[in-house]
Amino acid sequence: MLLSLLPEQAENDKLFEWIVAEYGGQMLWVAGTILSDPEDGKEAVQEALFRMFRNAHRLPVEDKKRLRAYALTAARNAAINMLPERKRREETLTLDDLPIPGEEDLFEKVTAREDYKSLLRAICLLPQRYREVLLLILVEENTVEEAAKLLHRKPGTVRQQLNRGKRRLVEICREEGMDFEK
Amino acid sequence: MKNELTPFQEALIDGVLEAYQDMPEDIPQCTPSEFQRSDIRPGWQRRLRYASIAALIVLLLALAACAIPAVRQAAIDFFFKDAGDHFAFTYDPEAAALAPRCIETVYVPTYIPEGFTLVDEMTCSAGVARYYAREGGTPICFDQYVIPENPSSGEGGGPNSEGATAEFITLGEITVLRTEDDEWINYYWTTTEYRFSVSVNDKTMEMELQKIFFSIREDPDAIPEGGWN
Repeated sequence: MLLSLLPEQAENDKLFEWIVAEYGGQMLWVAGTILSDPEDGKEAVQEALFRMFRNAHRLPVEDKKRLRAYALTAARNAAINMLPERKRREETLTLDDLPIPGEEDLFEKVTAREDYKSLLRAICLLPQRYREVLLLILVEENTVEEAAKLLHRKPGTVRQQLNRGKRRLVEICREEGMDFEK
Repeated sequence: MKNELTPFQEALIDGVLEAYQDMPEDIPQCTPSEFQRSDIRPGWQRRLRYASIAALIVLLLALAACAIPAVRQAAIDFFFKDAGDHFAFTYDPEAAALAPRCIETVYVPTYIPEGFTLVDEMTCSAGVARYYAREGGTPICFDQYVIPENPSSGEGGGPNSEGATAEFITLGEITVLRTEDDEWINYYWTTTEYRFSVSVNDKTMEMELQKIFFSIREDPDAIPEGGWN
């Protein structure tokens, strides 16, 4: 039983109702922009809710903006997962994905910046799939495996996208002329 | 949960939401009754169309297990269905109920083909993963996971089924599900405790894949740390 997985059943029932009331319509809209059939859209949202509540303790319930980002990310990926023509082939692990010495340091410098506007501009240049992985792991503190489950991706893919996302963000910051290497 | 967010984290949240800036403001709200709070997976009824295939496989498996008693004793029966774009697995609920709920014994391949090195690994309470690659990028993936707590629910994230073939083969005394698509060959099997998979994306390496399969041994020094819950 899903309910038995949750420590505070009654609280989670209330939370479920609140999330559906607050974000269910938006989640349906997101799924509907990806899937043409409304029934499929509803099914995707149901799947997204299912996955969100498997990890209810990770839901950022104290911050509506974070919770909205979390819910819409879950809905988008559940809908993508339902596309019949979607190619689910995993991007392969390559030696190219091994961390480059010093790269992590540069990423730390990027994330330590306090210039919100330039950071947002750089992040918006990242593909959404990388933004989602970075959000779940670096903001919501999901493990790679938890993020993989919510995003319908394999843990290896999420690890790879985490590394690539970090690397790409450093590259974008460089291209944008950010001076973070001092 | 962090309450104080850094500017980077704030920007990351806003960056994710940026993708939905075209969303209309007048979206009607949903009522909770439109969705269910249960473990009945969405689309379950719709996927009944796969039930006939699954039932046939159950029958074949049962016949195979009767013919090979050792298999019956050595593994938890599992069944698979084509969930459209991936293979989903279900497990014999009685046997699965006796399986460990977390990784207690870690297994790893003791043979890896020459030229391959370990590029990524995980050993936690929920699973064990070892990824190997060689120059040029050809990966080998080994995974060990616990049997799902609800063995009757199909798990997502199985091997790709689009354009793939699937067949049961016998390696030693173990019945193995072999799937193959354009790029990957996957072996999937269970013991009385865990479920395993090993995959390679080089079609010329199936013999090596079998060597890896037969080399899997307990790693007494490996200690699962943490989990995903």
